[in-house]
Amino acid sequence: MKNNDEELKRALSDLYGVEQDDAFVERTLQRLPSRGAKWLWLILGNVAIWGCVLLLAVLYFPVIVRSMADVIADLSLKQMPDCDSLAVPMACVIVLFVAVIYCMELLDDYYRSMLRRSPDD
Amino acid sequence: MSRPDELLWISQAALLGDKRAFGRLMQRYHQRVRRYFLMITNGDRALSDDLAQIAFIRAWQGIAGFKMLSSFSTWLYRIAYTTWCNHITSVKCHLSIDEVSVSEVVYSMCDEPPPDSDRDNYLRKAVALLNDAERNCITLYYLEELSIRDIEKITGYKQGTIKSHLSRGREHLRAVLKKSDADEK
Repeated sequence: MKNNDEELKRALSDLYGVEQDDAFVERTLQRLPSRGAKWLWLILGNVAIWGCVLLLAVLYFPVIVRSMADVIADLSLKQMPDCDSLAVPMACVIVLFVAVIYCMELLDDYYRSMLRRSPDD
Repeated sequence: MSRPDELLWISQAALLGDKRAFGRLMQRYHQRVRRYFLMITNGDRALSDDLAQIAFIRAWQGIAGFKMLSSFSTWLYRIAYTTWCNHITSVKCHLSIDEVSVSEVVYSMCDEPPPDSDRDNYLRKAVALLNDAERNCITLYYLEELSIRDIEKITGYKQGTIKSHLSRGREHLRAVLKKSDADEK
């Protein structure tokens, strides 16, 4: 039985032998579409942005809290907050907005890759 | 399991989009993938190279989604197998023949076989007359020397089904080999 299997293996290998072909590899490499390292940049970008957010939040914590308190106090008195006290919360919102968008992009990319059937599925 | 140098190339290709690393993977696997397609297409070298190229391009596009749950070779064979299934579907659509069997499609793909020995010709025709599932199982088991477990992952067939495909295909091919040996005598 085993000999028969070996014989069949040998016969098929002899019939369908393929040699090493560097030209095939070269041709295929030329046809590969370019694919940037999107994942890596998204992850690095997220780490950088959230790192900055955290750093700014720690460094300017008293300023941010004071400005927020001023704005809330002005709003509760139905007064328009002044520009100086409004600048810090606005900057915080913008930085947070950018960070969240960047994070959403990463999550979106991740979920898309999870949902998309990979070629081996 | 994938070897350490292979893991490095896979990571470079997946994370950095490094084509040279993917080229190294291709250097290692292109013979096996092309041989798989060569037997599946029953010796059509041009078609098998085209299909192998498509399979490698799909592998490149999907390598970021490779979760290392199986070895790289099994993953690559799975892509090769789906590439073949897609090709067969498109050929069937193109021919728009109802009830056309895959064996007929493969048999029709065979150009004039090269002047081999009688035994090779017998074997080539016998392989062409196997049905698609049998040919795939025989190719992966005998030519690529994969385990039944790996073939299950690649084709999605149950182990029992693979064993019966192998058994039927083996009997068929052995009978042909015996006949050719008897004819030679």
